[in-house]
Amino acid sequence: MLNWDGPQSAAPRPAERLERELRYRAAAPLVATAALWCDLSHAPAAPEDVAPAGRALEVDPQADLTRDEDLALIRAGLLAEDGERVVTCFDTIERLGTFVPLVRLLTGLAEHDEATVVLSVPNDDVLPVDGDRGSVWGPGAFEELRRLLPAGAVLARQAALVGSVVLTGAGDAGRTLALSLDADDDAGAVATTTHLLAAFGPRADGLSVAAAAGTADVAAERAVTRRREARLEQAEAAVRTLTAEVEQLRAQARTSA
Amino acid sequence: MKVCFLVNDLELSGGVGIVVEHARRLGDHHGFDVTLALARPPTSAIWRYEQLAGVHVASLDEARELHFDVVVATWWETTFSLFRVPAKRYAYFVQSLEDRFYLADEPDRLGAAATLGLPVAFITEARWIAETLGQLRPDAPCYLVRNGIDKEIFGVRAALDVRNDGPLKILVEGNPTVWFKGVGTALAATSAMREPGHVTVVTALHDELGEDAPDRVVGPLTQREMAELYTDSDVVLKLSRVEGMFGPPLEGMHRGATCVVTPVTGHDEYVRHGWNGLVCDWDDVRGTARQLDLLARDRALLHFLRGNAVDTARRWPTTEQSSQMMALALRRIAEGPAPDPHAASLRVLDDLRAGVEQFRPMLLENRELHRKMGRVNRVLGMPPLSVAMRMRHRRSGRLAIRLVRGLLGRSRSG
Repeated sequence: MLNWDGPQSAAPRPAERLERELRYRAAAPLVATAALWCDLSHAPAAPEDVAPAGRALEVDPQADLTRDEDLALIRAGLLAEDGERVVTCFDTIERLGTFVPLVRLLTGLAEHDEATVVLSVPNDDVLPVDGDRGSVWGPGAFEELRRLLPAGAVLARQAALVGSVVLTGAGDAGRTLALSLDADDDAGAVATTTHLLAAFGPRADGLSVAAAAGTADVAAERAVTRRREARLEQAEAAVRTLTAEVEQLRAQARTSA
Repeated sequence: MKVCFLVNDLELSGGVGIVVEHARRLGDHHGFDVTLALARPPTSAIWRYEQLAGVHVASLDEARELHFDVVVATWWETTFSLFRVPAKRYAYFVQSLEDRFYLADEPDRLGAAATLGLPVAFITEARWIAETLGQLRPDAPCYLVRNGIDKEIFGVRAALDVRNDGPLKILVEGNPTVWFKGVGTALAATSAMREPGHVTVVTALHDELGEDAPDRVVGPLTQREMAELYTDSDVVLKLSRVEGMFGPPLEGMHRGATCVVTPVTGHDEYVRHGWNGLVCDWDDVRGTARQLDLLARDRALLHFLRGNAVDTARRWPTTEQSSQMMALALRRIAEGPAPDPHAASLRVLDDLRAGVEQFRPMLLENRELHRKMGRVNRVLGMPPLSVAMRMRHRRSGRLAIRLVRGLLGRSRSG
């Protein structure tokens, strides 16, 4: 049987995987020279080529990042070894029921020069807000967070791109292409911002510019739009029919009265 | 961690409600030991804030017997008591630049402005205030903690009804006797509408609404009652002249109401013209009325704005998220260095000097007028005149005055 009525919205966003990898690539120069790297990101998915010079700290997947006790263990694990330490924390804060203990841990590590931290929060002003959330973020919330960070924090925004590519054959896959980036950096550009990033700690200035692109499933996006249009057209037609019937009944009522 | 919030009183106000909410949540969810200290003895009934249950309320004298990690002033007058309460650190929760509540010749204006020079850390609720404080006091730390919304009371509407007919339901709230709340202007705008509208005013002062009478007056209301009223309303009309960051349009957005507002400071924290509300001009009764007429006529626009209003609300922090930011800010203040008293003292002295120069001509003028009145009073005190002054208040005197006036009037016309 034909099942035409698919999702009303394209979920997850097609660019989500690519955006997640890019956050790791922005932190890659920091991670590459780290003796110890601790990844507190939600569902960690670092690209294979993002790796520390030393080792990655194993974090218990069941660790509760809202509990002081669990965070104390993470801190102890980080400080057990000397050398440069980097902590990445992507897509995490917004999912916690309370972010107070985690933010205190991260700012404390940075302020005491014990680790460089890179974290992200989403710009919910433009992104869909799903149910798996403890908090909502955007330019206002990021400003609140920024003022809590140690001095010298480096701030960055991750922006959505639109692009196009001309492919001439199967041999084009995996090619490295040079792109000229036409990106605004003014206040109005917040409309294109999907995520806000902050790096703080002794090597915060190591956060780097990064970009990535992939092909978009234009057909799938068109299918979602068409389903919505079809439902709207059908609903509007039903309303016109019902309105006509109501007018007819009113006219009959007036005549018989 | 022990924190004390200094409040003037616990009478009904949005600002006190915010402080009470923070106090409760810091205690319940973040392990803080919180005291609300009344900077002055209560003169009227304490408003029945739901959130007050379980919060320790103390007098100033009682608070002075304790020692806190941070004491926070919450209104400019509470700073007079701030340093009398023993604490490791002091902070000032600035909900608005309060000197703007007063007119230019009111001394409170100087007092409120001068308190921004104190050696404290600042906490504020709107980005424009944080930026202003950053310019005024680059030496002092300033934390931003936006006001959250209690979504158990003002829950975000899951489904928005379409309202294609009936009069436009307009909600106005505020104290009509407070000049910067703009209630009179709002009612004038609704009276100038051409399209049908139904206006509800929420205020405790039912008899102070002036000539432009609304359809209904209610209040004071609890927050839950307000939530029900917002649900029934199409638009919140808020024409304030002075605000830190107003809450009613945002509360209304949670319940499916759009808004028409002035471009008052803080409105841009969440209002976007043509997206989730409309922004009118200052002192533009006719223009505001035309915007209300537009919403009444164009129900597709009304639904568009209401839908985006709900979407905006969905993306606004809860009171719980706000209290997390407050907890982090207070801990930073407690653990950070104390602000430099020298820089603060310079600021206060500069303000004091400016105030002296501002009021000097007024006081000199007052003294000169007093001197002149002294001469006038001496003349009026002379026997013939003093007798005449006393006669004015007697019947025979008043008859004599009428007779003289009549004679004078005839002689002028003759």
